[in-house]
Amino acid sequence: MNRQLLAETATLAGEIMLKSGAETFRVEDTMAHILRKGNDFEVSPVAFTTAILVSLEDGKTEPITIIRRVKTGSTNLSRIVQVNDISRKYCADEITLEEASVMLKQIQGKEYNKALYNLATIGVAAGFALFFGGSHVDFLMAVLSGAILAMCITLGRYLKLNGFIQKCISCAVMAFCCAAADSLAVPTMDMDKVIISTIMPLVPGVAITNAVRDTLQGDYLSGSARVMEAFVTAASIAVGVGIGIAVFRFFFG
Amino acid sequence: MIIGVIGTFIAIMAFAVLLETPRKYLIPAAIVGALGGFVYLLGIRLELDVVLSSFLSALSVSFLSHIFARIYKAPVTLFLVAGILPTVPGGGMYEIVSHIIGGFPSASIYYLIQTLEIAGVIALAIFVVDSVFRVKKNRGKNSV
Repeated sequence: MNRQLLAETATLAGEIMLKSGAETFRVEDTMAHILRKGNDFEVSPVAFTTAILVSLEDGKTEPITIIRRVKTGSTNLSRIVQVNDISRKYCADEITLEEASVMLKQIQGKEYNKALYNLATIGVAAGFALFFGGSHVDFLMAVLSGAILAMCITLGRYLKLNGFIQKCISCAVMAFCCAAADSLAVPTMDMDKVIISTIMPLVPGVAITNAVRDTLQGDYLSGSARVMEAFVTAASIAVGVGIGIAVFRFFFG
Repeated sequence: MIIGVIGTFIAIMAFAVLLETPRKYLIPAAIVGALGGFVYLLGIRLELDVVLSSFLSALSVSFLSHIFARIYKAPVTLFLVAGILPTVPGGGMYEIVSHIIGGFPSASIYYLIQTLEIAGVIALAIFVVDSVFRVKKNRGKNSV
């Protein structure tokens, strides 16, 4: 058993999962499963929302410790599933450690291309317009404002703005356009419904779910960090929408 | 209401794409979401409280997510994160801001409390269902 490779593989698996937005307890669980295969060591995998620590000690030789700072990216469930599969196969002895390591390094980044991604943003907005009981006018306006939002987000990614500013500005532009359309062009639309539908792709659903599930597992540190994340995201959306409407009313209202 | 459920189905499928859900799990995730939307709309139609409707919706969503996770042998997150979206109080968040701008701070506080309540009951629903399934799992282990 190659101890170094074992520790590195477990860390890599944990890193990919944490980056893709998995719950912290799941990351620790997966790393522990991989590490326990080398059954003659004391293993302690630890995951925070921002870092991973893995330590292997057998009492005879120098212990191996890996610490890695993890920068959280956007949620990517596809990668979580892939790591999960690899770890399951490895634990069931279907693949060797070397194969598992190679497979982890080959995990693909994106499942869908950018065009589909933007189309999906519009889809969420349009679908929720129906859910909130909007008329056909609201539906069409939600498609339009969804397109504006998708455009702003793409632009924000291109300019590498941080998450808070990106969401805030996107929502501001979107809300401004909705307010403008409501009072200047399409008076029959229900502005509230259109704006609510359009912010749905950005609301912190992932953060709320992860917060609950981490807290339930007794990981209060990660749980409270996720609650904070949910609050900040919600605040950035609220502030953005507020600015958008207020600016319109100030100049034109 | 049927249109609303179809709308949620489309919306959740699209949201699952945003979360990079693998293709073969898109439809199950959308079904979970549509169930959530259906229960919520049904609750509203039966004139239940918004918070109670949200709770029932989140409860059914997390229950079905756990079932699907076992059927497809995939992490619960896959279905839960997308499915819970119809219940997440996006509307409440908007109402808070819009009333502040409109000059009705008292209405804004009403919506603030309602939004926090809904976030709370979502947490409670996930918590309850997770615990139930954990008890089942642990009992299973002991009996083997």
